[in-house]
Amino acid sequence: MNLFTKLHSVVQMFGAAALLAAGSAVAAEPVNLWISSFQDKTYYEKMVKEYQAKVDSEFKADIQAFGFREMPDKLAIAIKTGTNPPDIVQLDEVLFGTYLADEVPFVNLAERVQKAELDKGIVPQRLKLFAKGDAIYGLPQSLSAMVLYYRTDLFKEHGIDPEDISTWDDFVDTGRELAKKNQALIALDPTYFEILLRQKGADWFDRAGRMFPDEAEAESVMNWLYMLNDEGIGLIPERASIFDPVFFSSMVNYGEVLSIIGADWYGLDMIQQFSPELKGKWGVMPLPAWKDRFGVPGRRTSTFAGQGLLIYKNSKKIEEAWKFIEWVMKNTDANVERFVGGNSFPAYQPAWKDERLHQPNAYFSNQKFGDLLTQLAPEVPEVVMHSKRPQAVFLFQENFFSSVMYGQISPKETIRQMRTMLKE
Amino acid sequence: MNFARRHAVYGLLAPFFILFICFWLAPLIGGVRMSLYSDKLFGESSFVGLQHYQELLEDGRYFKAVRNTAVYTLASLGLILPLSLLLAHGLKSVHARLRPVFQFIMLLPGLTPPAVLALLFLLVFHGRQGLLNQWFVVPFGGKPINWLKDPDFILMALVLQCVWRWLGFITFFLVAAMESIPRMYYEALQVESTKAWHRFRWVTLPFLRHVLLFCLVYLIVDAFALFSGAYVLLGGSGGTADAGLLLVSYTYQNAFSFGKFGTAAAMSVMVAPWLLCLLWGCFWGYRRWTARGAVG
Repeated sequence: MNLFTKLHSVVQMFGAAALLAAGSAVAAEPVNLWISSFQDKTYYEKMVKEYQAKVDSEFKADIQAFGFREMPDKLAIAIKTGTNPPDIVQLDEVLFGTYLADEVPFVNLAERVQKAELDKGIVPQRLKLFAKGDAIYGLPQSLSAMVLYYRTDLFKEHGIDPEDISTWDDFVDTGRELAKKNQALIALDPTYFEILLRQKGADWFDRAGRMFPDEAEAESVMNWLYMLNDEGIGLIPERASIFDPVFFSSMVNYGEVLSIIGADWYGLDMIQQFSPELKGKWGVMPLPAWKDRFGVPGRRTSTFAGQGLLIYKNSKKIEEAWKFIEWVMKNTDANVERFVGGNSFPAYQPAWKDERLHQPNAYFSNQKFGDLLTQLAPEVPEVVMHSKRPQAVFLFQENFFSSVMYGQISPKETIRQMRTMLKE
Repeated sequence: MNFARRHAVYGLLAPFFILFICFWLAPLIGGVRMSLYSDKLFGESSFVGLQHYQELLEDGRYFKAVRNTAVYTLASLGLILPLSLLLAHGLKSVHARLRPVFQFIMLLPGLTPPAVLALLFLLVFHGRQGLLNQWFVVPFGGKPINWLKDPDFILMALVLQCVWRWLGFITFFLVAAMESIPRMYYEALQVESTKAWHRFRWVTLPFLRHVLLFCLVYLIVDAFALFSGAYVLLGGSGGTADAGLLLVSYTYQNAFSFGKFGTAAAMSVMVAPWLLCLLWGCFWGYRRWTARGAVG
């Protein structure tokens, strides 16, 4: 063997060693998963362990949890600078619109979703949540069906039968009776505008991108909310938010309001977490219905918010990330754990056959919460996604809600100003 | 002097300049560059020149933020400086052994991180049950004020927070400056007048003008830079009807709530001219005061 051949062999050996090292380095790197809540971190840590035990023992994940408000900040910086972005991110649908303005920084999962038959399993209205055109960029974790949570003990004390409240007119009549005794029936929150508007079949934007396509409905919802506040039927929390822990420690615990509109995750996560001492004193019912102009009651649910799982477009572990997401979305135990663990009701319909989702819930007066949600699922409306929707939600919540509630600005003027601010 | 000794000073200054370049100059250049590019969040941004600056000039909310920031700054100065002078005088009269105790108590708010202070102020500003309403409004027959939601009071809440935070600190500076005033000037004035106001007007105030200038600049820069306090109280927004929208809050909104980094960078760059105008006004006033032949 001459010198050249020997050198060639040595170079080949080093090359192979270098390739092996590089390959094993990539394989050894964990999938970075960014989570929007600390409660969900616990869930995903458990899911990673299950996935390692049942599917892929080599799979590694590094899970970081940030606050709901903090995570989008960090994600925006990571995406803008391209520095240490996550592979998988759990993002709320309200914030997803921010990423629709230009090139979407997430992987189009449409083909993968079809191949995995998730398009047949996930509730169709929810499947379109993290979508743009035919592209699907994320998968929803929750059904996010809106219900009315009510205090069973206080309803009984005031002689209110929830069965008597099937429409918002019934609700207002009940509220007016309570208001005479200086008791508010419901807490008011800025998100109710969008929830009730969507329940009526309208939305912030239409598919053509027009803002407030049904201006009359938007005005009527704002006027209705104003009326609730003005007549003492509704009470606005101190910081005008039903998501503020102080709301639970004050208004809820002192019985200043008897009901709250919320999604499945709101009751499972927030009410249970912040008011553990009220276990057994809450009930759940469908939203009262709006009547159309013929007096026919409409849908008894709506939707707002809800987290989804998305894969960053420039991730080097797209396939690994997808396999994990696919498993989490389709695995029955993973879906059941979301519900029984106090998180949210899954949007994946095949999992609904599991009996564990239909057990009586001790916190909610032994009601079969899962049954109610599966009954309401077909009525959950679609959300019309738009790149300016996050801004619209933010502006209404922070700038206009209180002014509208206190009569400082008319709904018409609110709509005009919002259109100007969003240049629509 | 050999070469090493002559140039040792550069070695000593080097750490400062390295940090200055890394954490001030480089981000500043990056920010200016970002302000000249589109708001695209993902992928290559395109060069848009001064488009963001032009849009700012047409943005009503931007000018509202400028107005609010100016009102907030001037209101804070208008309250902190006179109150600090008053407190400094009072503190000088306190027994020498007790003075450090009072000084420490007064310094505490200034030493507390702004976010922690704002969390404490949530208890103070809480609508009906808050301390402010329960101690100062309701007992005097007033209706509880929703400090953080009523647009007539939001900015006042931010000002009160700033006053509480800096009053003690500024008083501390003024006390130290007062103690350095030579007694002979007071003794000399006593020949002509024994009035306390004259002592203050003709001796104390002129000797304090350097420290007052420092305090003014310090408070103006802090007012413009206020973020964490407003963020904790108002959640990154300007509150109802943008009543509490400050320049930094609006910059944050554009960057992180709306994903418009280019616009936010332009706003950040534009803080400089506003700040420079105010600071120029301070120095101009100081020079005029000095030129009138103030003692000290």
